[in-house]
Amino acid sequence: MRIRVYATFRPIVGGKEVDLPLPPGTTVRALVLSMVDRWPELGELLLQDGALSRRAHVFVDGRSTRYLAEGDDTVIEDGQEIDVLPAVAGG
Amino acid sequence: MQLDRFGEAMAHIDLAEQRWQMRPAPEEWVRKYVGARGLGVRYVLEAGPEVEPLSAENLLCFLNGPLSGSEMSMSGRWACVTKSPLTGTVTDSHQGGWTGARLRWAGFDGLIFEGAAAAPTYVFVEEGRISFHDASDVWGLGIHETVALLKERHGGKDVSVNAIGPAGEKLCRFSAWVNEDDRAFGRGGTAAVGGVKKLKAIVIKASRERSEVRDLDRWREVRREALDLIRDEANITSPKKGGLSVYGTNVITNITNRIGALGTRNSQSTSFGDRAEAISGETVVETILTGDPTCHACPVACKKEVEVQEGPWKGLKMESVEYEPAWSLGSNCLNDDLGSIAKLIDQCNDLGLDPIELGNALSMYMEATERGWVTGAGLAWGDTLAMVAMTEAIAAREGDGDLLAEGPARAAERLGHPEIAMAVKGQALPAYDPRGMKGMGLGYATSNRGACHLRGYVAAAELGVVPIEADPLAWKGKGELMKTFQDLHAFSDSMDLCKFSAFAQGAEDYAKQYSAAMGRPVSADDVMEAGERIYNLERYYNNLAGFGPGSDTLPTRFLEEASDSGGSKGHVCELGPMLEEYYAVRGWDDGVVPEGKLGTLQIP
Repeated sequence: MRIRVYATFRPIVGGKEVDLPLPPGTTVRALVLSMVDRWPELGELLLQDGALSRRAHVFVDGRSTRYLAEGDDTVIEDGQEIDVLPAVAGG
Repeated sequence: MQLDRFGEAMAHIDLAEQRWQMRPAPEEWVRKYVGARGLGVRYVLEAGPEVEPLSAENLLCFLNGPLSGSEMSMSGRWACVTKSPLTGTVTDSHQGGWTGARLRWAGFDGLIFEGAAAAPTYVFVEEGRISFHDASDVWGLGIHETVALLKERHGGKDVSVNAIGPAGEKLCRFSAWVNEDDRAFGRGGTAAVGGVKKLKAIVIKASRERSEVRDLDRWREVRREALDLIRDEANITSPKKGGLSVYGTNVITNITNRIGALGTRNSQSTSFGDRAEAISGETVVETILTGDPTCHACPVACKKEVEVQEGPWKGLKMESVEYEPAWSLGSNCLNDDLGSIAKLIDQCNDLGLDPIELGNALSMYMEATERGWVTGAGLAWGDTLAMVAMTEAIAAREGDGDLLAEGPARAAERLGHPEIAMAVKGQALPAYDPRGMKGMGLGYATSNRGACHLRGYVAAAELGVVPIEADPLAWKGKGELMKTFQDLHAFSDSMDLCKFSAFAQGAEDYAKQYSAAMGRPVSADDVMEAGERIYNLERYYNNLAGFGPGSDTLPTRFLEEASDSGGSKGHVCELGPMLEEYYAVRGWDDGVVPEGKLGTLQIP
C-alpha cells in the first residue's frame, strides 16, 4: 500500500511516500500501528492512548478519519489514496 | 517604557502643515478598544465613515498595542488602520518585524497622519521627536532601494524603514506598506492612502527598551508561561520542531490540496493535483531554503529566506514563500514554478503590492482571456514571464496593468463579468476554498475588511490544530465557532500579538498577559467581550459607510459550482444556513448591528 506523508513526518520516514505490505481489508488503525512498528519515532506523534492522536491525521481520499463514520476502524479499500500527516495550520 | 501608560503617546501628524502634536488617546477608548486594531478603528470612526478613502481627509493610523515591543512572546506587531481604498470598509493590517517595537522604544504608541503633504515627504522618528524630510529623491524608487538609502542616511544601526513603493505612489488599490524589505501591511490598499498623502516612508531609530510594569515578578511569570506554551512540543509553534516553525505557513499547501481546499485556475478547481508538491513548504525547505529569520520576541521563526537555484531568476535571494502567495500566484494561476513565485513575491515586496490581491487579479484576467473577454493579448495560464511583466505594469498603471491596479473586483466589473472576481466587499479571497473548508467561507463573507482568512482563523479548528472538533465539510455550528474566533482575534490584534499565538494560547492566556502589562486585572470573559465590542465597532462603521443586508456573501462559484476534486469533491459552500446561525449568535439584523446591541456593548 502506497502512503503519502507530509511535513515533519517526512524526515522520519525518509521521503514523500512509503510502501507498506498491508493486506486488503486493512483498517486505518492497523495501518498506523504498522507505521509505528516500522518507524518507532512516529509512535509519540501518531498515537495517544492506543488511538490516533489528535495531533495527527490519516486522510482516506482526502477526508480525515476523524470525520468518517468508522473513525480509526475505517477499512481501506483498493485504490483509495492515503495520506498521513501531523495536524498543522498556517496563515 | 512603562507598559501601563499605553495610549498616552499618540502623535497626531499634520502633513500639510508639517507639524505634530502629542495628544493622549481618551482613557475610555483605551479601556474599551485596547489598542492597535480596536483603537485605530475608533480613531477612523471619529474622522467620519463618509470620508473618501483616496483623499487627504482619510486618517492613516499606525498604532501599537499595549504589548507591542515588550518582551512578551510574539509581540513584534503593529497595525495600520484606515478607510480602505479597495473596499470602502474600515480596514486594519498588521506587520511583523521590528518597526512596531522600535516605535514603542522611540517613545510613541502611535502615529496618526492627517491631511496631505504638498510634496513627497518622509518622517523620521527618534527619542520622542518627529521630523519631516523631503522624499523627492526616493519617490519613484522601489522599496528595497528606499529602505537601503534611508537606513544608511539615518545611521544604519537600530533603524527600521516602513515605506510605500511605486504601486502606492500610483494609487494602486491593493498597494501595501512594507517594512525592512519584506514584512507588509498587506491587505486593503493602505499604501495608496500614503500615496495620496505623499507620505513615502516612516523611518524609526531606537534601540531596545526594557518594559516597566507595576509587578515585575508577575510580568516575568506570565512571560515565562507564554513562552512555555509557544515552545511546547505538542504545539506547531514549537521552535525547530513544530510544522509551522520548520516549514513556515506553506506547510499546509499539500494538505489543503488533498482535502480539496486549494483553489486552482481562479477557483474553478479545488485541487492542484500532483503539481501542488512543487510549490509546497516541504519543497521550499528541501530545495531553496537559506535561513529562518524571525520577528521581535518570536522563537517560532516561521519566515523562510530562500535563494532561487535555477531558471530566469536564479540567484534571487528573498523572503518569504508563504502559503498565501504560493496559492495565489501558484495553483490559482496554474503555475507550479517555485522560482517564479519567489520572484513575484519579491516584486510585491519591492513595488509594494498585496500578493493575495495580485494573484487574484492575474488569475481573474487569465480566466477572462481564456473566455475571450479581453481585447488584446491578455494573459495565459501559468505564463510566468508575462505574470512578472504584468506585475510591473500594475505597479506603474501602464496598459492592462492600469485596469488590474483597481483590484480584481473592479477590473472584472469593467470587463463586464463581475462573476469571475473571487472577492467579497471588493477584497479578493485568500487560500482556503470555501467548498473544502466551509467555516472559512463564512469567515470571508462576514469579515469586516472584505474577504479575509485572518479575521476568524477557523482553519485552526478545521485543520485540527486546536482541540475543537470542526469537520471542514460540515456547516452546522460554524456560526458560533466563527464568532468566537473573530472576537478572540480582534482582541489579540489589538494587543498586538501575532495571530499564530492562538495556536498555543487562548483567552485565559491573553487575559493574564494584558493584566500583567497594564496592571489592571481582566478575565477571559473580559477579553472576549472586548473582542466582541471591537468586532461590532467595525461592523457599525461599515453599516454607516453603506454596508448592510446582502453585503455578507460569497462569489456564486462557491455557492453553486460543486468542488471537482480532493476530499471536498461534490460539495458547495452552504453559506445561507451558516449566516443564519452567525447572525443569531451575533445578535445582528441581517448584517446590521441593532441599536440595542450598540448600547449593550457601549459602542462607540
